[in-house]
Amino acid sequence: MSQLKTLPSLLINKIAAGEVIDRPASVVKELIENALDSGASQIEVTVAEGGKKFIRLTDNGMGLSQADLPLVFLSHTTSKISTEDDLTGIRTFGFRGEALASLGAVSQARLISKLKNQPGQAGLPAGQAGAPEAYVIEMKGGQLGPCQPAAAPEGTTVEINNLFFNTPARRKFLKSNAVEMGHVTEMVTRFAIAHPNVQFRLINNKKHVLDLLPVTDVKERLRHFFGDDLVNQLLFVEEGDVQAYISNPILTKPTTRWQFFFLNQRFIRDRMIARAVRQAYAELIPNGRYPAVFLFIKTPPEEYDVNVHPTKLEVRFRHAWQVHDEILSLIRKKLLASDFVPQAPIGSAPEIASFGLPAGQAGQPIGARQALVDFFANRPPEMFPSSLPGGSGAPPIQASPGTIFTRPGPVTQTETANAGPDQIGAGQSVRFSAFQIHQSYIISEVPDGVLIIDQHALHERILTHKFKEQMRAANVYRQKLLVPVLVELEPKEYDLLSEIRPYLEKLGLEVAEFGQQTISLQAIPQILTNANLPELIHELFNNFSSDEFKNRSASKKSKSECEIADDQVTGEEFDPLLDDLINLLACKAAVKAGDALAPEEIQALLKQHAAPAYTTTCPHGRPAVFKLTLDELKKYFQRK
Amino acid sequence: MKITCERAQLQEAFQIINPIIPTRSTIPILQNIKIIAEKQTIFLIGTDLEIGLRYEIPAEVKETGTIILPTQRLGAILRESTDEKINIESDGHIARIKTKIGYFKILGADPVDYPDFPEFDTKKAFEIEASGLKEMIRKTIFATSGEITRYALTGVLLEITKKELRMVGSDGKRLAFIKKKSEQNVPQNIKVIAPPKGLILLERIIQDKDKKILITLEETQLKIQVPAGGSRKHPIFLFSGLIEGNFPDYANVIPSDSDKKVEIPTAEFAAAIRQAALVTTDKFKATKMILEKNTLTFFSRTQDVGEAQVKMKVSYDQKPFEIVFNPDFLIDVLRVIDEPKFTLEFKDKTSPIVLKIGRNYVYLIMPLTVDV
Ligand SMILES: Nc1ncnc2c1ncn2[C@@H]1O[C@H](COP(=O)(O)OP(=O)(O)OP(=O)(O)O)[C@@H](O)[C@H]1O
Ligand SMILES: [Mg+2]
Ligand SMILES: [Zn+2]
Repeated sequence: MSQLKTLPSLLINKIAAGEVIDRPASVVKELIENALDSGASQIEVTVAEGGKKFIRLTDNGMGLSQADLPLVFLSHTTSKISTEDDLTGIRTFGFRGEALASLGAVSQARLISKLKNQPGQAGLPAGQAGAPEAYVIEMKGGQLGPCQPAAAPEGTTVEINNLFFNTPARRKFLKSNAVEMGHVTEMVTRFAIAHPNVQFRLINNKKHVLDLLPVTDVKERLRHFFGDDLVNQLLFVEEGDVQAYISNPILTKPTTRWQFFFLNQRFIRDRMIARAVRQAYAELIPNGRYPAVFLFIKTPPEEYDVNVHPTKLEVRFRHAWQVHDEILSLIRKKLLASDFVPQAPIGSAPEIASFGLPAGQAGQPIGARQALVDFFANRPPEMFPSSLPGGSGAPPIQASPGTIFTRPGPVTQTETANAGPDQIGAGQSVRFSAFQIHQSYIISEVPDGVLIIDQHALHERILTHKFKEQMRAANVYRQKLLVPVLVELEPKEYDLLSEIRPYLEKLGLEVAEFGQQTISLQAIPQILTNANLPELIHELFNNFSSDEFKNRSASKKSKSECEIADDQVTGEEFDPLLDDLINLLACKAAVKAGDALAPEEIQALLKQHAAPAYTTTCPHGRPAVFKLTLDELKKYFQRK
Repeated sequence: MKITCERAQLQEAFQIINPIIPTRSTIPILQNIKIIAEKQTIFLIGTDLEIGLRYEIPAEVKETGTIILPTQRLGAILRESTDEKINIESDGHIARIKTKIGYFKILGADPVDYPDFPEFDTKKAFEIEASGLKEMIRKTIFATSGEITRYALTGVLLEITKKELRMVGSDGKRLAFIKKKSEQNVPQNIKVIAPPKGLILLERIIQDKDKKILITLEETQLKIQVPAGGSRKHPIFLFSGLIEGNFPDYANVIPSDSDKKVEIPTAEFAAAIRQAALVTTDKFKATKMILEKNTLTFFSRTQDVGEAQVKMKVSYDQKPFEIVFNPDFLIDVLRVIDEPKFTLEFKDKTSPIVLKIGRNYVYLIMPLTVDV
């Protein structure tokens, strides 16, 4: 006798419901999507006990006809697609004809609808001309009731009572009313941001939680949800099909909850986009802090597939890396073009400050733009051309016999300002002073105030930047060692040797085995010439074997799952593993807090700082520069 | 104690001792200078325990005794005064210093707290030639390493045999070797690593007319006596700790198979390399040297800074050759070369650049490579 049975359809729906409906918030999601699909411009959600007891959604959409009503709770019944081809170009939120069937299986559901009165529509019974009736239909635990006339305004109302009343196991998993309500609010928030032109109202236990009138500018919605303080600090970027409001790097959040990604007005979660955002802010914000990002992507539905996950939270892009790169470049560009220096909390909230520029030249520092160009240049010019530059190059300087140049003296900041052909402040002739305090900080006078610089953080940042530049150009200088440095490895480090070796090599660390679990360093990257090498090696191994690292490399593998072969896309930064190791290298190579700096060293640091002007935080993300403006000083001393 | 001495002599002694007295120390009394008055002389003593110096000058001693004085105060008084003579009297730990127009009362410290200063045992000492020592120190010390992790390389290797003196300084990336024929009455060959501090001090003390210095070697200490002579009425005694560790076998790394060779005029070369290095920065210093028929070209390029190309004439007609290196390594050595000419030898891009002056000085630079 056959063991296989076709499952009763109710059971199938109960199982299916588990995938789509797992808590009141997901009910709200399905219902709002349906309302939006029906063209509603007003949506009201009413819940009781966090939605566990009762959820009602009322919309002013086009409604349903009497004939369609008995079908809405049936599985695979949808008005939104009809052929397989439709699947590749879904323009509605729903397409499976599954949500209401699932809901009807696990709750006591009721749907009341009145078809919108469409001008010129014929075929209505004479006695009810121009005013079609409303109808109601119920489904309780999978039992479909009859379709009956009712009284209701145009549009649709769906009520969900006692969610999971017949699936106690699932009900048990629901959290407290407050927690579930939190999820419901979050859900409505997402839709409200994605659809600023739709009026939303959310009522819980008779109290109005949200009351949002339609607006034309999404910023108004953001203001409502996140407050002026955050919204005033957001930068707007737009390019092609992508728009975004992004926080300046000074304003960070403890989690990614302030990141919202929308694809054609659908809230999505996407690892690639999250990665792009992370990369864009890399080195600009502290570890463990996250930017606020509201990202709106518009793209033809053919470019992605939403039918990969029952909750439609995740999508699959056809050109995931392209999307990644566009977003990375869009945000990064904006960040590099803006200069942020945290300012003293005297007076009002910090403003976005121009950095190291003479007053009046704020805005678009050329240094930053140059840094950007470098950042995205596929291959910065080689350090040395394979042959000597021909006549086009600068005329060679003839060494005049007998002249012995004195050692290049300390560089003043005046020179700094005139350093490059397109350097900032070419006309600047005032000399500003700088000095070190507590052998850890540099105080530097700038035209509109004072900078307080963490010498280690800044130097580390500069070295990271330059080292990456070299890496990008495959131009990492290895200093050959006359006398190799021997490093004795611990057994567990030794086990990792073959795995970490390619990374070491990429970084310019030439390693040979010396036996007895000892390695000998034959060459080192030039920036490390004064670093404590054994300590560095141990730390590299340590980093490499840490959990965080393993996770990062796992996320790296997910990239190949995305079946993206081409890694050479512009803007693609280093493998995150390598990225971390580079930071570590720079940290070791940089001057430490407590190192006394000679005046020339201070000037050299400031001079280099002027080049990539966005270097306000060290790679660990700690801030590197703090600015006190003259205005703030004036305010403080009450001269104003 | 009660003394009168010549201010100029006291100041000269003070100036030599002052740099070795720590401005900050976990043993605060070391921040002072110790003065001992004996028969017809006074001793000035300063130490940071790693190195120490005792300087003796003649004085009129009316009352013997010891006093410990704050270094900077004493220095300021000596500097400000134009007197010929100066009077110092002590009353417990208090010093009274009298000049023509001034009278100073300065609180000193208790001599009991000052660490014992070693003695120089002339009987155990052997002589080495002083002439040329200054040059040897100068030509090697700059190549030492600042990395405490490569401890042995922070010092200069000193080899003393009956017939030869040798010094080697290296930071693992470059190496400076110098040797000199000289007669020493050492009982056996000596090989120690001396910290730069002590050598710099010695280099400053030795004068051109000094013929010999006396040395004793104890377990971890090198003691040196520079005899009286010239303006010095008395010998100077200094000691220095030694660096323990294995100095790399330098003889092995000095190549003998460099097949390309070019003679270089020092001044012109120094000017050229300095110009080429103008566009290099901080931790990213790389210059390419290109040898072609009778031309030597330096080329540097740094992003954000610019590029430099500098040419000079040399007589070279071997195979064209190029090599990349840290220009600082050459600039450093050029500061200590007094000779008008030297030779450069090469083998290939990954082998050391060898700079030679005659047969006695060799300086190696490991190149930079960009092999992928
Ligand atoms: N608020 C509403 N207004 C108008 N029609 C609605 C409304 N809600 C549901 N419907 C109709 O009922 C059908 C079934 O809805 P259901 O949510 O179950 O499926 P779907 O939206 O088509 O697909 P999905 O399962 O992906 O949500 C829809 O196709 C639509 O025709
Ligand atoms: Mg739906
Ligand atoms: Zn660091």
